[in-house]
Amino acid sequence: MSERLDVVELLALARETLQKDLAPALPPNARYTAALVANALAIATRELLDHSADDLSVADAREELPEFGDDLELITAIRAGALDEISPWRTAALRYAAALVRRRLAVTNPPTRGTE
Amino acid sequence: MEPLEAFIAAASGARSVRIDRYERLRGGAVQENFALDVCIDGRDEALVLRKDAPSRVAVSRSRAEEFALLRAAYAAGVIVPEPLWASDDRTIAGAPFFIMRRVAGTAIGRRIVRDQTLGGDRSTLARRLAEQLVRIHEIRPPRAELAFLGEPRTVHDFIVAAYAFLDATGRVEPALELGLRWLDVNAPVPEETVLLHHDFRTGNYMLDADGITAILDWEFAGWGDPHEDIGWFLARSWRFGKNDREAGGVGSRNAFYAAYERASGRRVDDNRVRYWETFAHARWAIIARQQADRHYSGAERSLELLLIGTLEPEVDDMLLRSIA
Repeated sequence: MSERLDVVELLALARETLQKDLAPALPPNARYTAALVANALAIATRELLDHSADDLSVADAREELPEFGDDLELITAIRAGALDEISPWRTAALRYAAALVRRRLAVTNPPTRGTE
Repeated sequence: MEPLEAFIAAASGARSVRIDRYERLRGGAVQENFALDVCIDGRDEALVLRKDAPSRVAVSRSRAEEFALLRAAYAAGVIVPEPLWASDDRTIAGAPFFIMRRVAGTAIGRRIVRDQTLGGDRSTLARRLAEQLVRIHEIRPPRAELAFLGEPRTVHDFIVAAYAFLDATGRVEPALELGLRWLDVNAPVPEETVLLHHDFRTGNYMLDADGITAILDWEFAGWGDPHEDIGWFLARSWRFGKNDREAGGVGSRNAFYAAYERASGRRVDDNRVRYWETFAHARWAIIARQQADRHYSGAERSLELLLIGTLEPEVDDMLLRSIA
């Protein structure tokens, strides 16, 4: 646990150093590249955080789709039109899809991004 | 003379050509743009050379085709950099390319939606953009010089291609699948066929302090229903956080519709536009994946492409919300 926290701290500090100490000294074109690197570090840092609540939501939502052995079966059914009509299946599939997206958003997007 | 100097001399009929600067410009993940300062018969010219990047998105058009589109747009009075010369000869610049005049301004979406000093009178910017879109849409088939555009791409064509891409790369994403299926089932019957820019949005036009200086990036253009372009322009992704200004983060939806209707004499069907906004989410999600895939496939090692891929969950989220 403490090793993982250290990695988060290390990445956060690397990012801060890049943004505060390094980027202002760079020519404009390189500053853009520095912003890309800072963004990559932020994403990597968030991947290391605790996502157990989101993972649990995904698992819970998946349990409501027992008809489909795996996600490949689920998307095959979606493509075949089996979930076109309003039904408990469709509702469960939408809920599961949303949980998966939320789990990925927790890593790719800073929490404020959607509302800024 | 260098090959590029010789090419410019032959294309322009000049006696002497000297290149003073040839420098890569930022932006353009699909193409590479180079600032080109050239002295042609003693006259200094500021130009841009645009050529293929080492790898490109499958659906994007060749440089020669983009050049033909730019010429058609220029002739139709769309604000675009004047297209000058094109060549498929790889020995000149390393890849097929064309040269156009260089125009000043910024296209960076985040700056455009925030910096009110850009674009002249901001209260009329959405109107002026709608007028540009109408000019593009006044280009109608058949056009011999645009024969390469082929038939309009249907929604179903897009879905089939999307499935093929997702299957080939082994991606399983229920949100995207639910969205694609909804789009297939609810696709409107096309009413008119016009030239679509297919990427007309904030981030792809350039502004200076006085107004619009260029509509950029014609590489996805094709025939189709004008509502598709309107929906793409209005899609949430291109508001860069300014969601109270639905028209590209720079104006209201109603102002944009009204200006489009006034300039075109045709009614904007709000339901159709909203369908195409949902479509825009799915299309952007696929493009974001394709961009990241250019890195993962080994075709082009690029942090920028990888980061474009990380935008996808946000777009999947918008897609899911608009069909739920």
